[in-house]
Amino acid sequence: MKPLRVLKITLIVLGGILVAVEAAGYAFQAFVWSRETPAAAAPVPAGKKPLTDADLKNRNMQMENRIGALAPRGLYIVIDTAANRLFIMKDRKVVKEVVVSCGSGDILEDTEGKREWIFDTPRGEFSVTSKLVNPTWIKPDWAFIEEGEKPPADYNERIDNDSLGDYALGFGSGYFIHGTLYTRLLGRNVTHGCVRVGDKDLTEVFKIIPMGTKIYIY
Amino acid sequence: MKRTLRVLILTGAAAALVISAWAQSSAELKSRNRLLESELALAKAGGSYMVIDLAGKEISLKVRGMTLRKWDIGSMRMWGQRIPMKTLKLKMKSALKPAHRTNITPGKEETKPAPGSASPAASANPDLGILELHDMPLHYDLVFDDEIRVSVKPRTKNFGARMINLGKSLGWYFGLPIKTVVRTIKKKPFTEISIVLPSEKAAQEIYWAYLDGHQTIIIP
Repeated sequence: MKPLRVLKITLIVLGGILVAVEAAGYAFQAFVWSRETPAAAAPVPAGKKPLTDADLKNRNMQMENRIGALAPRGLYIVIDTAANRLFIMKDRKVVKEVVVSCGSGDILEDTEGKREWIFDTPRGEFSVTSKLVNPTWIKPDWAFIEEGEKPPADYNERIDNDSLGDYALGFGSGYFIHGTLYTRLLGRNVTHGCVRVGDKDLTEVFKIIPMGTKIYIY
Repeated sequence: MKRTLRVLILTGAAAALVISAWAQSSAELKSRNRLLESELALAKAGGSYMVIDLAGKEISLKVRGMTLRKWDIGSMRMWGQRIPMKTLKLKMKSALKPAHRTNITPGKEETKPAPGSASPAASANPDLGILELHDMPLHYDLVFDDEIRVSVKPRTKNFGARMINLGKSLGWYFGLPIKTVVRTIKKKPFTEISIVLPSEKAAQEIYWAYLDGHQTIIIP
């Protein structure tokens, strides 16, 4: 047999197999997989009557109400770390929108101590745990390591009275909403995880937001 | 005789329609019940969660039952086994070109502006080696447990991105039937969902908002 003919026959056979497999795939999808029984409602415990449609409607309505009741009421803060925006919300309406700076996502490694820091703004649900006027920043180890310096043993060398601005709102684990010297970088992801706010906006945020206010960061 | 037969057929057809509609609404109620139970559990837990509503064509980031952010879905298609009515966990985000974090070199002078500069022109200083929204990929897969994969792509005018979209479509029509046959033999069913978002920014925002381990409800 000529090699060209062998090649032709091989291609036809392979093509036929491919078409058959494709057809089988479509058939399985149409007649087997997509007809799997959908998951029903939660199984009925033994000895109990199955729920009627009216029961289900009632139950669904109750659950919708319970979910709705979990949403925060009154004032709360929402921070969009991608857009670098802070929203003061009241009953699901925006009261104030502020341009901020959130975490840079950069990584700092301490080769000596084998430690690593990822400068992300934490995401999730938080509360305002402290409100400080003229806050002092006690510089952590990473602040020195980043500058190529050794973290000092003397506590006084860690005190920084300028970097956090006039006010700071703490939301746990050393994270704050605070002022900045770098107003030009507002709107960009440049921080070590804190949320930086411009001076004028910070004053307003500090005045409006009481202790315990919920913060939602995404 | 003919008339009686006609009446019988019509009555039978009407009864079948009513029964079918009743069964469908009953199944919908049960599905809704399951979804609400899942959402209530997530809302009570307090962390953020995602709801991918394929029927309503939107993706929502929620916390405590409240929507923080919502994105529209341009179009979608689904292949494979039905989606289970339960909370799914994001195992990983998979992208051809994932965003990379920058390692800081200690002691290296960063391109910081002078303190006190009040100019809001942040874009005048474009590259600071930081991870920002525009660094996020446009095409990616969200891999959930139960062999569920959601492929996300944006509607785009960019030539390269359009070529990737074309490649993904070819993979969908030619690759998935083959995968179906293999998985049927192996008895390992799967679900593939392809979502097209109206803009590149939406795709990047969803990638940013989604974190590994994020709880998700998919409404079919």
